[in-house]
Amino acid sequence: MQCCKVKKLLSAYVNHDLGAHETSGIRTHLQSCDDCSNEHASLVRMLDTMKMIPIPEPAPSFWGMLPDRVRYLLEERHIITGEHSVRGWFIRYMEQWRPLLLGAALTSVVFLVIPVVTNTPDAPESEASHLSTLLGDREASVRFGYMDIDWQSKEMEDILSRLGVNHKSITELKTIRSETADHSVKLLKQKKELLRNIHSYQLETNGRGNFDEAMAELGRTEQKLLQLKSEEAKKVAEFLGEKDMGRLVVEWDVLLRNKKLNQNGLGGVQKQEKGEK
Amino acid sequence: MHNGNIKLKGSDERLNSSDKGHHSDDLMLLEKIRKGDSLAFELLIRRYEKPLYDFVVRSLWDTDMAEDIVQETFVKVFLKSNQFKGEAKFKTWLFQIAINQVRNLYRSKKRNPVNFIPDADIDAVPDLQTVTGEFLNVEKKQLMRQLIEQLPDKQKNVLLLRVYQELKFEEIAEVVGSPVGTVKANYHHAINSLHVRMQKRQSESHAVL
Repeated sequence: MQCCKVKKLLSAYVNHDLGAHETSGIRTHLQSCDDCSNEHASLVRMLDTMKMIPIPEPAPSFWGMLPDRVRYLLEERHIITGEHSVRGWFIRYMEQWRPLLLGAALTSVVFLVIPVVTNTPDAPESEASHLSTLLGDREASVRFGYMDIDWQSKEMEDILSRLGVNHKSITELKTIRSETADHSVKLLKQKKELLRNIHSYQLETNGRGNFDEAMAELGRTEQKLLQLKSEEAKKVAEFLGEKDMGRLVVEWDVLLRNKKLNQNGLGGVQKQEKGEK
Repeated sequence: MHNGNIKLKGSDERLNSSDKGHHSDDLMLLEKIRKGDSLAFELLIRRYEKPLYDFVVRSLWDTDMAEDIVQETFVKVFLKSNQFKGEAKFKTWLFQIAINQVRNLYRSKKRNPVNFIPDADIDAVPDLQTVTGEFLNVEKKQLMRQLIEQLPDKQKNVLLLRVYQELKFEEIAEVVGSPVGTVKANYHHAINSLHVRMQKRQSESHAVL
């Protein structure tokens, strides 16, 4: 094989993207040709360097806030387009992807029955266990930081009992929570207000200064919130153990969602929206 | 106290699990998202936020714009979740959306890339003997990054997806909507062109020294 051909095929050779015949031809050539062998070594070094190019990190609060930001964008667009609620908007999307349901929407009975039947929640425990397989401990801790758990509720007591936490310990857990609850509620309100302001500044022509200031403030609030929540998460994790905290987080989320579905039902929400119109 | 059902896996570890299991997990999450499950949507975001950000920020070299594109991409995922049929991998569909978002951004804004030198490289203070070598290494990465940025978009996307996301050529072909042969040609052309330009630039700088 000639040098010019070998050099042309080196990238494919390094990438194991050649047939056996060409691969063997190049290998033999490299053993006897210093020039091509140096070229090969240089290419491998370049690929190694390329893989080690680091990336600039996003703002510190970016990872923690991403799901909230996405949710907020969805909500905002929904408001801008004059829709009534995120939930109602979401149901409209469901209709689009489920043509059968859309077709059947000719009668209100179908609206009341099909969504409820198709969305009948799984038993909270089994679904929580299913979702738990996707949620690692680390993510559970992160998620815990963004959850608003009602520690006084009967449902939470049930979850804790299922995890084997006795009554006395439940009281202690509630105390841990109440130590930080007021502060965190205040910070969450502040964060919501800032996000609202940031969005309105984005729409203003001369809002850049306010926007930057609000973004900086949002970063600081987020930091405080993260610190507060991580302290709380640490205490709860120490108390329950990380594995059970993961289970608690998922069970609470699933329970909350299923409760909402049972209360409203998708048809119920649809009916309510029709009434509003 | 605990029934042992929780698998102790972080998102990074999960990305290395088998493609098949990963694909069915994604489908399950998308099915739940369609039913209005916010936890499933959050899990999906957590699962792909880092590779997506990595890809986008390497395309733009601007953290603010990359953050916006990542957010917008997940918004689109939510809006189009009904269109994903599961024939391709979710990850390829996700990158397809991201590439379109980046393209739209190029159309709507004039790009103003930052001249980024990573702090990690600057702060790393090696011992005296290796100072020159380390410095050259930082320079080399910086140069490499600039050369990648100058590649035509088609070549750059293929290169980023192959080198940093480790997608197969068949998967990249799905993402960029080109035949596999074209994708391979773009990749090898990009690598060869980078190699030639790197060697040229390095020999120039040695001549100056």
